[in-house]
Amino acid sequence: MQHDTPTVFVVDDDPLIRNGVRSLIGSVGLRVLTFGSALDFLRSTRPDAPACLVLDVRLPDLSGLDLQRELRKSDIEIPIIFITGHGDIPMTVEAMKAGAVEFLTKPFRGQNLLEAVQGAIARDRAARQERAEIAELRKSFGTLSPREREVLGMVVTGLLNKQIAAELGISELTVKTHRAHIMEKMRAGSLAELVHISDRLRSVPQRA
Amino acid sequence: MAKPVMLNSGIDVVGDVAAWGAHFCLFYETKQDLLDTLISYCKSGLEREEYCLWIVAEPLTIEEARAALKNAVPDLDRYFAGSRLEIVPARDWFLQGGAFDGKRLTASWYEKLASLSARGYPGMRITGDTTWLSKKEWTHFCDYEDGLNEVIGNQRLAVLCTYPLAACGAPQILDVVRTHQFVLARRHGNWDVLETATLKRAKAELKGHNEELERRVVERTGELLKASEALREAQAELARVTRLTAMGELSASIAHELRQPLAGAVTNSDACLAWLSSQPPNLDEARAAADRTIEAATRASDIIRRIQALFKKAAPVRLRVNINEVIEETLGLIRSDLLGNNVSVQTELGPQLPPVLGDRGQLQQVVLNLVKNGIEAMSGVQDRALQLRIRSARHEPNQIVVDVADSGAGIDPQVIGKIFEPFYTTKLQGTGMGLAISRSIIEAHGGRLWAEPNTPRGATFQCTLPADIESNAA
Repeated sequence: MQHDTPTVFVVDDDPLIRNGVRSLIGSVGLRVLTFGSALDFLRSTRPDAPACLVLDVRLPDLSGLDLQRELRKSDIEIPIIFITGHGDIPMTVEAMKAGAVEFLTKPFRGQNLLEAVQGAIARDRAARQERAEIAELRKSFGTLSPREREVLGMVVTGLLNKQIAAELGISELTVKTHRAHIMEKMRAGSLAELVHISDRLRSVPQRA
Repeated sequence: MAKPVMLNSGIDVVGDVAAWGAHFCLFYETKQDLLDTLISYCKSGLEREEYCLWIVAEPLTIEEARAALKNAVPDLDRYFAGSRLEIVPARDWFLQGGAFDGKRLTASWYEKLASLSARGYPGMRITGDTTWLSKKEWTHFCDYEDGLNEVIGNQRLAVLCTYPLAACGAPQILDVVRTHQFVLARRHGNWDVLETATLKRAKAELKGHNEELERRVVERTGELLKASEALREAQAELARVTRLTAMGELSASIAHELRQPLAGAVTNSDACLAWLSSQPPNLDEARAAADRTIEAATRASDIIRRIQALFKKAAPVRLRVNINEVIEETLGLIRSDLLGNNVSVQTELGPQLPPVLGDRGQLQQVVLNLVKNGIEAMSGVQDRALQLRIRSARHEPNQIVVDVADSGAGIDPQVIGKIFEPFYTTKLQGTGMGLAISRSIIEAHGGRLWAEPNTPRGATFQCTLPADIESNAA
């Protein structure tokens, strides 16, 4: 399986629409995987590649909105494009609040769906990139000793070596050594870069 | 206010003036005057199983009274034997113990009445003569008469006092009139009732009460009518809203049902176009998408067919219906609407029309819709009488035509083609379905329904229905 081929998942219980959407999206060269129910989709093993989900709101058993909730609960981040036969306003609001990227009312034009799909995939690609980078940074952070983490916290708040040494009751030279190790382990070329890395680590909540 | 229990006095002229509790008097000139009135007074009481006491004084004797009464009541002895009638001399009765004692006398009436009631008598009627009265007793007697008025009101007792006119001077006449509820006297040879001021006042009060009562009844009836009208309107509004809600729900689910295959058709058509314009074109994919498009469109038309079947429900009933009966029944149903809107209806129903084959209820609905439509069309008219004309006639040998003409605002020629379209309405509270439904009913019966402007004003709705000639001849 090619690592970066974008995949579009389609979940709709109506085979005419499912196959129409599959054909339409396939015509622009994207990989399409179709499912007749939300449970089928949940049970599937999905390729690790940029993707988006075209999801019918009204489905037997688990509805489209239920599936959206399930995915959030399981930390599965995938942009969702909802398609619906009767998009009432409360339903649209709920779906968009929960992070849907688009809401198309049937019948919709193929071009609109394709644009939404391309946008969603670009978004997912960026999100995946971001997640990979953060994971990398977190791995680097994990190699820091407790003392180095302490020093890092003080460095990024703008304290001078002298101040840090006084604060921790160690020599200024020792602080300098810690800093050099930190810069190396975090692969930061400058203080500015180190501050930026620290910000990125902080902005993403730690998850269990 | 309880209605007084009426007393049949037996005296024509007294009629319904008297009820139980009557205390009245009579001025007489001759013996015949007394017999004229007292015989029928007593006879009437006897016939009603009442106890009668006739207190006689000159010029009548006990024997004369008894003989005259026997003439009128052949089995008089039976009443005497049963102690239901007494004829007694006045002096013995009034002057017991040698002198007149009004209090004792009044008390004796009540004792007697109580024992009679206990024995099951419906009441007691008394007549007593006063020729025995001397000047000495006059004032006492007047006090007694006056006192009787105070207490007689609630008793099943009637007292008729007879006074000889010749023996009474003007002061005595005034006393008598004052102490009785009403007076019988001869006037121009006929008996007449003279009412006293008290009775007049009482009657006036009674009349006042009755008028007040009547006014309240009218007022209350008006309120009830208004309330029931409001209730009817509320019910109609509720029915309309219910209908609209049901229609709204139905149309939402129809819309969803149809959107699904339409979305299938659009998506697959778009996919088809995409495969056709790809380089090189992928005809297999394009064909597959086109096939799915056809399938989706077919599904949409199946859904429409199912919806139509849903509305048609059962096969319509076709029975022989007299259209004039349908018109008359419907007008009966909508009479309160017509009255409420001051609309008068003129019917010109053709005689001996052949029947039409149809569903009576549906035809009634058409007539109802047309009449209501006419009423509503005239609702804004102020300057002329609101008149609706309904005609039925035979038109050609095998056709019946019914028309409903109003003198309302008429129909804007711009919209005359639209008024039969579903949901078209010019009214604030219309569903816009009445005329559309009416037309579909008439067309289902093999007829036509259309509208024409009226001269000088208003509109005429006309429909034709095929006459059922064969089964008529059979």
